[in-house]
Amino acid sequence: MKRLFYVLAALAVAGTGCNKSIQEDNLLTPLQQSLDAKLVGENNGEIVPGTLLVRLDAASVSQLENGGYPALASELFADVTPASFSPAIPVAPGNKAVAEKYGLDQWFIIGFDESISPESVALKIAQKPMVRSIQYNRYIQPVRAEKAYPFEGMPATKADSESLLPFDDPYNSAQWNLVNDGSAAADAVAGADVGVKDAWRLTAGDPSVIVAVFDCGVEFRHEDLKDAMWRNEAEISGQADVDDDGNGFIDDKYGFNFVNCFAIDSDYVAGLLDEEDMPAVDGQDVTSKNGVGHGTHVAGIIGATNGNGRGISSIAGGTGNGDGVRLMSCQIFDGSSYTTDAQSAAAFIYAADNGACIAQCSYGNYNVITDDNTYLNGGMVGDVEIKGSPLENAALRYFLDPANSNHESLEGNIAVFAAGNHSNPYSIYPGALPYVLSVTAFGYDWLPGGYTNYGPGCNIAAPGGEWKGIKGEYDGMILSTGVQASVNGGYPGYVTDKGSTSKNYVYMQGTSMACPHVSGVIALGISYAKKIGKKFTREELSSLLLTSVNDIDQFNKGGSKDFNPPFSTNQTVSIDMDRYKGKMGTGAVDAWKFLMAIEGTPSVLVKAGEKVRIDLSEYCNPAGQYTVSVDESGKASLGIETDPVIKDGFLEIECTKIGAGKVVLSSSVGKDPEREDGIGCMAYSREISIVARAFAAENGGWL
Amino acid sequence: MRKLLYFVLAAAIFCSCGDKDIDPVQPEPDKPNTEKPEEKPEEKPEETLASKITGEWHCTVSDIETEIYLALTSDKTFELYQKVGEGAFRLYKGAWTLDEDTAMLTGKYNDGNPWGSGYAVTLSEDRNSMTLTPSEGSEKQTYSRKGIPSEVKEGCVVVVKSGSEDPLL
Repeated sequence: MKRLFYVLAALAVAGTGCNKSIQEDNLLTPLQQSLDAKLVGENNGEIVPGTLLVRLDAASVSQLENGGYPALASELFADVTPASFSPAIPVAPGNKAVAEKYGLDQWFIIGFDESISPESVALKIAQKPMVRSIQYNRYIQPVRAEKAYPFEGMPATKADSESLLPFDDPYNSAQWNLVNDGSAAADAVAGADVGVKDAWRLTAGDPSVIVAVFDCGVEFRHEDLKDAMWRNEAEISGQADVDDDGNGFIDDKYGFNFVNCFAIDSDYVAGLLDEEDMPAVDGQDVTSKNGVGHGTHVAGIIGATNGNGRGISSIAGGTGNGDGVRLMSCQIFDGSSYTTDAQSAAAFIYAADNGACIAQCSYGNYNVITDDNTYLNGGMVGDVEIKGSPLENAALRYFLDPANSNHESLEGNIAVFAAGNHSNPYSIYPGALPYVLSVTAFGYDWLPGGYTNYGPGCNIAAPGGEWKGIKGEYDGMILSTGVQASVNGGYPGYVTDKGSTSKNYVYMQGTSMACPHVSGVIALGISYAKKIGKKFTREELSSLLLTSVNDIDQFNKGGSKDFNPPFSTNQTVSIDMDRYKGKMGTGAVDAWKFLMAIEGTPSVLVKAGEKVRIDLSEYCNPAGQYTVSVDESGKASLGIETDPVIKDGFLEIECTKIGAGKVVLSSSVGKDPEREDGIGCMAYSREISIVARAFAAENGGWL
Repeated sequence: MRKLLYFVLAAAIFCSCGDKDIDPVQPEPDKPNTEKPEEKPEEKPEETLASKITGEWHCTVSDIETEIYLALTSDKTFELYQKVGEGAFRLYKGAWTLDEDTAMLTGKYNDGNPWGSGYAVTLSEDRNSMTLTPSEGSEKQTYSRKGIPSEVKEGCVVVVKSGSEDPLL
């Protein structure tokens, strides 16, 4: 098993004159004041022992670059004895300018003996003038559904031949999340899906779109994923243990494991799967040693190969002709190991530097954090101390930056996060940040999943599944690619013949599953934009996505509904459904509407001289709250004397003159209505072009 | 008796001629017919305006970035490919009628909606230009005879969800 030390310069400083060991006493008040001024967050025990993240000033960074390390170290480490000192994250040389923009070049990681408390090191370091800020290297958790459940073949109520999908993947008739005809369960509602069937008439993906899966490792050898993986050809055809492509990562053939600094290759995956103590399949802990369950499931939803006669279909998995999107495995969770700020930050840099345009992130800080500042800089939420994450945020901004655009049809890159599975009235962070998308989850009945977070910070809803399906079994969850190890024949058991039990397809539920639905739809959208020669900024594309939705609240009739919580299958809880209304984001994502929006919305033809009502359902969630505006030139051209208004999901407008103009619907999502300084909102808008004529057909036809 | 014979003979000759007019004697297969067919002036049915406007037409309206392709078929159905502003061509289908007396063209979409207006049709002498003047307003539409490009037909979008006849990709 190869171990890669990606740290660029792990510099042992013993012998450099810094021989004074750290003392944990004598905490002087002036030192504490220095620390308070520079420290981001607190240490409440959920940090990585023996490490500390420190940001130096620009002059010190310049000094380091010019070989001035000994001089710098003599001052910086005058009072401590670090074991290592290195840049916190590597950046491709070509992207140095962008890294500097976000100060990423100024972050370093100090390693020291784990017996020494990080606070004491922080205290010593904080008084040094070249130190701008200090951050504890905190742990980050995945948004996990915890359990995967085996797919035992087609449900008894579904024959293979009943598939409504155009691809010959044998299990896709069990994928209500792709097309829901209402037969998944007695209370299933037709249409409660991601709306992708019609979208496939236009595109089913494009290999130029690379989706980085920030998760457990993706099982790149899976029969339904192996052709969908991003391939670093230089490393695949290169030499072992050599950084063939010079990107700073050795043998990163399909991605990289940032937790243990392994290349993601067959040696690594096979080595771990050979462990004797593999967990049971039914109810396995997918974050256990194999570390490839959760990420493999997420990846399959986005890009499992369509039309290959095997397994499942996916949103952007192509048509079976090698034309699906590509999946890059950015492994930030590995077995029982959580990731850290430094590791997730490194993963964002890697994804940006190696071609990903979408970051699929089903993880976050499970704590309830109710404002952006606390997430970024730390603070207290009730009795809970929150550790800030400026480094991860800087790396995220680096990924999103237009200067690091990785697709010809998108200016910047885009990041999608899960909203969280704790039924909390807030999205978790980083998803709640106003420049990334946070995804809530609904089931086959359009109703919110009993586990989903909702409210401020949440942006859009997607199928996430729920436990209660046919006969109380798994069918209401999301079927995707999985890893079922060491049961009934052992791993790998690529048994996918029709009628046989597949060992490599599993059901899971959660916002972790909803999140890749949105990533997949965005991937489709970028593919289609490329096909028709269009280009959007991240903000434009987000606006089109957030308006390409269905009204999910119309199906929520209130009252209570029983759920089986994702963390327990032995009890049922009753949840008040009213609490979700208006709080699941802008609505339920719809791939077809999104592609139509990308294509460009045709002008609406109306009759001049009459008040007309325009159905908004083609343009946005008609139940949403919007500010309607028409610029002066549009008003003049159309002869608008009374401002248009929205009533009952229709735009009411009267044009007194024959002419043309644009109406803009503006709104925002995610804002905490009760706190001005709370979670920030994501603004979005949709433009409607109006052409007023002397006559108009009801259906918008020209004649 | 002789008179009777002459009468029967005359009648036989008459009937024979009559048969010949209705069902001319076909040449025997091994004997090519060298007789010159009887030349009769062909009676062309009077050409109607409806038949004259049948075909494929193209129209642009530059100030609102509109491009229209209209196919009027002899079975009185139409296909309307329209692009008003952004987006791909949208396809509408339906049926049309023409009042030959007033030259008024009307139609109905397949979804049951009538056209927004009826149109007075004017056809150029060479039949390559058609002007539609709506009964309301002054928005004359001038079409030129032009085949609908295959990329328009193949790339158009039927704005109907599941059940559309569009093939996958």
